[in-house]
Amino acid sequence: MAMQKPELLPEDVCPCLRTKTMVLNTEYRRSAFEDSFTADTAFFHCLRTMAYHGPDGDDVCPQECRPGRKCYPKAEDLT
Amino acid sequence: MAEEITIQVGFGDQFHDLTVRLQDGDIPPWQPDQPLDVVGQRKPRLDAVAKVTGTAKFSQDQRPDRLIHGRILRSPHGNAEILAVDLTAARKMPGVRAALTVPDTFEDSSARYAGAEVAAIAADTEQQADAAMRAIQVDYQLKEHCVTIDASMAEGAPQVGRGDQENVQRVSPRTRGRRRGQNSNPDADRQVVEQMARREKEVDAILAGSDSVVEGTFRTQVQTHAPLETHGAVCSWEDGRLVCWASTQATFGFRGEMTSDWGQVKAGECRVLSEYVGGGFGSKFSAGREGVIGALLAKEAAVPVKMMLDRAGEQTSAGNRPDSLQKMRMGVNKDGIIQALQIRSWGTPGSGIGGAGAHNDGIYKLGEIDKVEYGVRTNCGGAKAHRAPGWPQGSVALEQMMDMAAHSIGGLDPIEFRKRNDDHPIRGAEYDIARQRIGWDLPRVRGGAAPICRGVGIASNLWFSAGGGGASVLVRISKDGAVEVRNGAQDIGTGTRTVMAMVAAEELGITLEMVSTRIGDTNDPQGPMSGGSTTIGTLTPAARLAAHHAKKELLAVVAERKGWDPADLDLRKAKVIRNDGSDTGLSFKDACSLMDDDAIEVLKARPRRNYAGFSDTNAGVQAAEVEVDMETGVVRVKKMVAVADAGKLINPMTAESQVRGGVIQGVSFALHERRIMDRHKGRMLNDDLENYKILGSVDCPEIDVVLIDVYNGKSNTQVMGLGEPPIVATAAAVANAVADAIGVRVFELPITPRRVLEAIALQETPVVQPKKKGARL
Repeated sequence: MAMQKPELLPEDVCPCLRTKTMVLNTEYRRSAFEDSFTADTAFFHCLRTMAYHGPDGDDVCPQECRPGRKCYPKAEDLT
Repeated sequence: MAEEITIQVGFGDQFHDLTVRLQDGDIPPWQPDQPLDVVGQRKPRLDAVAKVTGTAKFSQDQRPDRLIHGRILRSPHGNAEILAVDLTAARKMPGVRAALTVPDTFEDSSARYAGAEVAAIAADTEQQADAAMRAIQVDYQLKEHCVTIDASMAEGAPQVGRGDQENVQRVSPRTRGRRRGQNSNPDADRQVVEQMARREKEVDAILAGSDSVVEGTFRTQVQTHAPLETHGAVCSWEDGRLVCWASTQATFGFRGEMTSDWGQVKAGECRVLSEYVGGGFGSKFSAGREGVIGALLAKEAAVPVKMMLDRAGEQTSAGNRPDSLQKMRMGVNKDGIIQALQIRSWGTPGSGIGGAGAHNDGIYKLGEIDKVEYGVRTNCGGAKAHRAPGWPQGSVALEQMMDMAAHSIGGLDPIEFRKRNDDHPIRGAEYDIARQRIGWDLPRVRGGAAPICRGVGIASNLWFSAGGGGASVLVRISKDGAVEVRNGAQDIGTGTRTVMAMVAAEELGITLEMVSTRIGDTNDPQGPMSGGSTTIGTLTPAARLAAHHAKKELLAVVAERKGWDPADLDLRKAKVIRNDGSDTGLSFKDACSLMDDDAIEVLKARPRRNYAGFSDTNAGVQAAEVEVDMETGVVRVKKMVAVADAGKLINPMTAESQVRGGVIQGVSFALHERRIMDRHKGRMLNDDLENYKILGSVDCPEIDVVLIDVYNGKSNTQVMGLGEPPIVATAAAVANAVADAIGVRVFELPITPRRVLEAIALQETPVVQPKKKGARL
């Protein structure tokens, strides 16, 4: 069954990626989240591992959590 | 449609007109000449008595019927792969109701540090759970480990991470480019590297042309969060719906992780309750593995499970402030103007690299900056956001460089030097207050000239947040005169409960005692996370707007029943008054009794913020006075002056409390706290509150808090964030004061007696270092 992806995440960023700015809930949430891509004090974790590395052992971050990674969800699971 | 109005903004005797846009039906900010009865008064917390008498129920205190107890088994090894976990024997132990393994549950068989989660048990009693833990069989494949920044950066160091992860990796500047997926740009990082090289060359040239160049290498240590209440939750499934009493800084964020299709719990519905939270400091935004484990164990056991971390788990695995190694060069001209700053920094946020940075650019005009930061993986528990992430460690380095630069150009006064490189409208006034309150110009025995020396130091801080939208507050006025303010967000100690009630009381013209606040329940209106110092700046404008409209509805009822003009009515001092100030003879309670319905309820969203304002940032200056025993090396902070501003002060008492908390945590960072790792076994040696030293009451200095009330116009309450900024400058001010006292600089935190004595004995790090041109970091 296809599962819903957080609207904040760019189209091909893994839906399991989470970071603090995603729960800001303010009008500047999107810009704060996008700023965190290159921020030196931002932390990203994976909902599946609840850790800073994904199921494949590699780092969790918006640059890495993209299609092509072996833990990236299957196309049929994504809405 | 936005309405434009002209308001007065400023502070002290510096006010001017500013045109701002009121959006989303907002009401004008309070004005400097506007009489206020509740806002601005010193009010004890509404929950003060409950907290000090123990009647306040934290997550740790929850005891739902049939509660059982969860425990997490952690790896004792510095670095290992989990080959197998056998729960068979443990499941047969008395009282055991549920169990899980981390490899199965979290798809992760890497135990990358001593303390990494391996398995979990839930049993009827804590003792049964402990006994069952000992029956779990784990087969590990051990790997070499690195637990210090130096060991990890050394040539030939064992690999900390997995796959192709390098121990040291640049985190800033960093490309936004995607290395995988659509529109990926394999060359993006090469472009960044080229830009870095150009920048380094440019700044090298400026430094070479500066009248004076100072340089220093600074180290700060890992600081754990050490909240009184550990991380975790009490989890219960009720008719298929999950209820979590969670120790969290984000009730709605916690719920989001529990209900996400992509998480491990996938609860169809989840209610999170956090009426009281025993401290967070930035580490409690996520449910964490402990939260997920609690929910899954409760589901399997079909009874509520208490899954709160023990202190060792808290200290090793629940987050920390990364350490730092910072190398800096600053070029300054004879007139005291900074020309350029070159920074190379390394930080160790555990086995990942996120969050390794140290912030030090933003307060002063630093000229041209060339800054490169690296994350260094270590086999240690992961860092998390920690009260002003990156700022205290960055400030420790930068502020010492500021003093060194001032000395290098003929001994310019450090405060004067800062003023020449700082154009913040509020901080300019704050320097003078700090100077006077700390007795900056008083004669002292300093510079190591006597067995006991005293010194003073100064440092600055800033913050950004005025809050934002996305939150709503419900105000209910009942027919019996009771007023309730509700929002689902948590209060992590900022005084949210009290301050929301004060704002509503002010708007409704009643006393604080007539208002109650309900918070920390996701069944109530959406609230913000408590992060970035945004909570009160986000919630109070919504509370005021909701109270304003509730008042209008109440006055409309009164006007209709009495035949009065509603436009001529207002509420003040718990009475209905006319606009000319005359009393109608009707009390607030009498007015409420005129309602036909049982209550008036108004829910209002937080209006979008005014982007214009008096200043986009808070300022803040702190000064320290220390006494150093030159024979024992013991440093005592005698006094801290903390001059702070946070927009309009709703409750100076709770605001002052925030500042005191920041200063205490900052002094503790400067002198005491540090994670100590066993390099051979890879374990944290001080994973308790006996051996992890935190500033105690005997060591606590006199703290002189000076609050500046600023009408900044950025929202209808004009509140700016205050939770984080007071910790930014503290340790730096202490470090500068120590250097002033002993005549030599201690470049590494914590400033322990041993380091003080070594610095005195070796004299190898003079305060004023010789000018070096052209050297590279």
